[in-house]
Amino acid sequence: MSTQEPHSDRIELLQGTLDVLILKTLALGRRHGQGIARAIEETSGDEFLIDHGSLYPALKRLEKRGWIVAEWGVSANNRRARFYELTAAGRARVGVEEARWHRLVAAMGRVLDAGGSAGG
Amino acid sequence: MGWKGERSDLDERDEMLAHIRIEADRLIEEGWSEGDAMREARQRFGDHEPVSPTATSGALSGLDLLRRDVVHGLRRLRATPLTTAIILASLVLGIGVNTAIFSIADQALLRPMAIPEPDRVVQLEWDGQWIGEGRGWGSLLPHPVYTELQDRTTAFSALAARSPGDATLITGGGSERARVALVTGRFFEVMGIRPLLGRFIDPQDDVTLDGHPVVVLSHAFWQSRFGGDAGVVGRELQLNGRTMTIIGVAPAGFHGTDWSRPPVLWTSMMMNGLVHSWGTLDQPRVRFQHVYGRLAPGISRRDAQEAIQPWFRSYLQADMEHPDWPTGRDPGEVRAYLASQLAVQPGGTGQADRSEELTRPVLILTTATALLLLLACLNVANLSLARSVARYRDTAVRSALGASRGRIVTERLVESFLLAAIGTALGVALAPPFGRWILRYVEVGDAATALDPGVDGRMLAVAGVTAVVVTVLSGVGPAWFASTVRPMGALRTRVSGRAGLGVRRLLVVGQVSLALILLIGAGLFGRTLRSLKGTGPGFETGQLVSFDVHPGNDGFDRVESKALLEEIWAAVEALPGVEGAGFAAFAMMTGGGWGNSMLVEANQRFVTDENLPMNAITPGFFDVLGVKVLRGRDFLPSDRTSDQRWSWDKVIVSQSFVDAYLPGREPLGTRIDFGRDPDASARMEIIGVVENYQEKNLREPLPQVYFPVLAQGRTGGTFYLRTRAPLAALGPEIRERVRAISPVLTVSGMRTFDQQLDQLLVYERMLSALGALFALLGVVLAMIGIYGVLSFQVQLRTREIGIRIALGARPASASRLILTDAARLALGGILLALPAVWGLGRLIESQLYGVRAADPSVLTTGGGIVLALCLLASLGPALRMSRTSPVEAFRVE
Repeated sequence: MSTQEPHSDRIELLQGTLDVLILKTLALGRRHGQGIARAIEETSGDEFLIDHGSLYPALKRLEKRGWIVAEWGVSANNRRARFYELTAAGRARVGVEEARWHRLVAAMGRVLDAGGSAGG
Repeated sequence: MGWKGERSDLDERDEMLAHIRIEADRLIEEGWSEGDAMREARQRFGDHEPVSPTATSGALSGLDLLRRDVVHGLRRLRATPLTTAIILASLVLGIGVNTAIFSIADQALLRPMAIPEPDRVVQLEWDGQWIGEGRGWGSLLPHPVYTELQDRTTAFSALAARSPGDATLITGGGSERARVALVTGRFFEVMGIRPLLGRFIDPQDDVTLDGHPVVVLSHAFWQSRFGGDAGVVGRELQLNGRTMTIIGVAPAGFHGTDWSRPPVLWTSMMMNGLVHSWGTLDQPRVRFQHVYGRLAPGISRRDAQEAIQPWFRSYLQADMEHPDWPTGRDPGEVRAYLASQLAVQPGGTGQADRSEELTRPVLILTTATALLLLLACLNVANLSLARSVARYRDTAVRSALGASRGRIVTERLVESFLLAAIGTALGVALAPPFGRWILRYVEVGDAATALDPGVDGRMLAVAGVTAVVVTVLSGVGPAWFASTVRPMGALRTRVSGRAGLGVRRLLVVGQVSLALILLIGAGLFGRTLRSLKGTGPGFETGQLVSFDVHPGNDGFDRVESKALLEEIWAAVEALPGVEGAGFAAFAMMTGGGWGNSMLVEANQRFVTDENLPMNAITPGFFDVLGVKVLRGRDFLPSDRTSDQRWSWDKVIVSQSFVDAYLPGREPLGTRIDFGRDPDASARMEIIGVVENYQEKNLREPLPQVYFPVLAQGRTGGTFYLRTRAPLAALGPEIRERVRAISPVLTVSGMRTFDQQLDQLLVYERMLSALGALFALLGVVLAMIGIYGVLSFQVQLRTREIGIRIALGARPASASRLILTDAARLALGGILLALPAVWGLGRLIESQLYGVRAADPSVLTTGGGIVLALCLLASLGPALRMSRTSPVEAFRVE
């Protein structure tokens, strides 16, 4: 009955990755919480499932750091919802985080490749 | 805009709600039905508490916030009706009992009399050596102290003496024995109250000995016997055969200075001879009065005490010149007498608070009530914590959404306070009926009229404090728990975990231990009552019946009284079914009676250092009781002198008298006398020794002395009959016979001996009965606690047990796990209780009889009962555990 538990065939989000995903998503425009979760899930080809219990704390954290702001607005379906958008600092942060992530991926790749050749 | 600090709670809720709705909208677009979509969306978000759709946004003021907290708190309480009901029941019970008992204890011990400025009222007490007749204890003074002092001091604006007594009253319809009080002229001035009707006894009613046949009625007596008739002033009633005029009625709240025996009327001290057997007032050797004063303006208690000592010293000096002064007293004793002081003590609470006999039981009862309340608090804390744990995830989500720790803690505390407030309100509402029920249940007799367990300011204050204490005790745990919930971890792990279980187990251990303490207390008081009843007075009481006749109080003189009593004696002895009849000057087993020191002529003459209980009895009295004459003989009709009179030159003593004062000597023929003067020769000869039995109370067998009753003018006393006939059948016959002898005679106090014993044992019965009630409540509360915790554990371990059973474990082994656990909790409680039992043993020791506070059999039985009941409470959870099916177990997860 626990739909929010990661399915076994989905990739679990690594610690700290949710922040960059949110920032990146918001870089494409303002969204409400459900929209952010949905966008990440769809963009990832449903590989990621966003745990709401992680999403809102993450949004709160980013808000505290001054990278995003929130405001009540009306959704496409005419629902009241709280919309998040990037601040100037947040926009700058997207680049930093993206760069960091790419460095991490590259480093991961080098390590994994080295392991592969040793085994082969 | 950046959010600083905590976001309004409403925002979180709205945001959660918005999320769910948007998700639902999306699902509807995907083709879900509306209802399913909403359910699914909710479920995907998480199973937290229902979100109010009516919530509106906007900043909330502190008051609004509180109001909203209260509304939400109530809703949450309604969401779990069973838990809420049990919590409320615990609170109502704890607070109701506590408030009722406090109210009674307060009125009995703490509260001043219902008079203006009670702190200005003082009581004079003899502080030092007393030489003279003992008719009471230290706070009693002889009448001359009062009369002389009131002319010689300005320290008091008014001074008064009072003395209680029993009298036969005839009012219109019936006659009855009732408590009356003799008061001097300014008694009501000292009390500072106004009469409800007519006037009070004043100095003009305090002039001529025997010359003021006037009475003031108590409010209760006026209501019950005169129907609250406003025209009662000027009407008459009979008091011990004398016609008295009613001059006034006291106000409702005034019960005299001794609430435990409130008088039905007050009459002038000058009428002393009508009530007491000693007619004169001027004897400095007889003390029978309490002296009260109201301090003059600007005078403190200390000032007053210093001011009256010079006079008191001269009074003591002069007293030695008095013709009554006993000669040949030990010089040390006389020096101590002359060094006595007249202490000025606070008198605003009246007389009753002085008696250990009463304060100790009330103190014990108050302690037991406090334990019960603590137990109820633990139960509430336990259940609240359980509820708090069950809402773990909800708390986590709210914390994730930005609710600060402070907000969450506040919410929990508001909830606890709501429970405490509702529980207190109900408890206070139920306290008066509960208090009245307790008073009826324990049958405290007269005292009940003066004790009114109604709601008043003090009681409300106590209830209020109790509510706060309960909130703190029962609310802090859950609140603390809620504040420790970490949003990330909680939402990820999802399972509420074992969190809080440790604390709950500790609470249960505490509950079990408190229940055991109450149970052991009940056991000890039960055993005490049983031992006292089992020991009995030393003879078979089952077929004894007694009644009082006081011809002297019905207008007959001493000679006539004696003749009447002998006639009645013969008449009742002849009644069918009566095996024997005897007569005693003083009723037995009333806790009081007649006592004096005795002069004994053994190897040397000496005076006993204690007052010995004594009684005056007819020949055959011992046979009626079934008490054996061990040596010598009983009194015989032939002991009478030639003119048919009895003399006191022959006496009978108890075996304990021989053991105490004549060890190794031949008692028969030994001469004794009242202990007035060691130099006088003893006039009485011991003619018989009877086996020991209890005369005044059941606890201490004292050396006793018996005189022939009809020796001197005896104007009344108590008849004892041994009979197989039931009292209901015999009573009317006795009354008829007495009426046939003289229609004006009053027969009162018709009772079986066992009823008399019950009356004597009123405090023991109260402690035993209420102790049992408290123990029962305590055990039920502890069982609820055990059941709750074990049920929770079963829920936690369902999966584990499912796996075990799937792997082939037998269901019985699963039950055994739970039962073992219950036993462990019970044993923990038992171990925790033992030191407390030891400590509380000191408090109750003086009330016990025939059993020690650390009685092993009571301790073991109590422990066994607690263990058994704990296991009983765990049967339900254990059975559920054994029925766990592996499939279900996995489905739960």
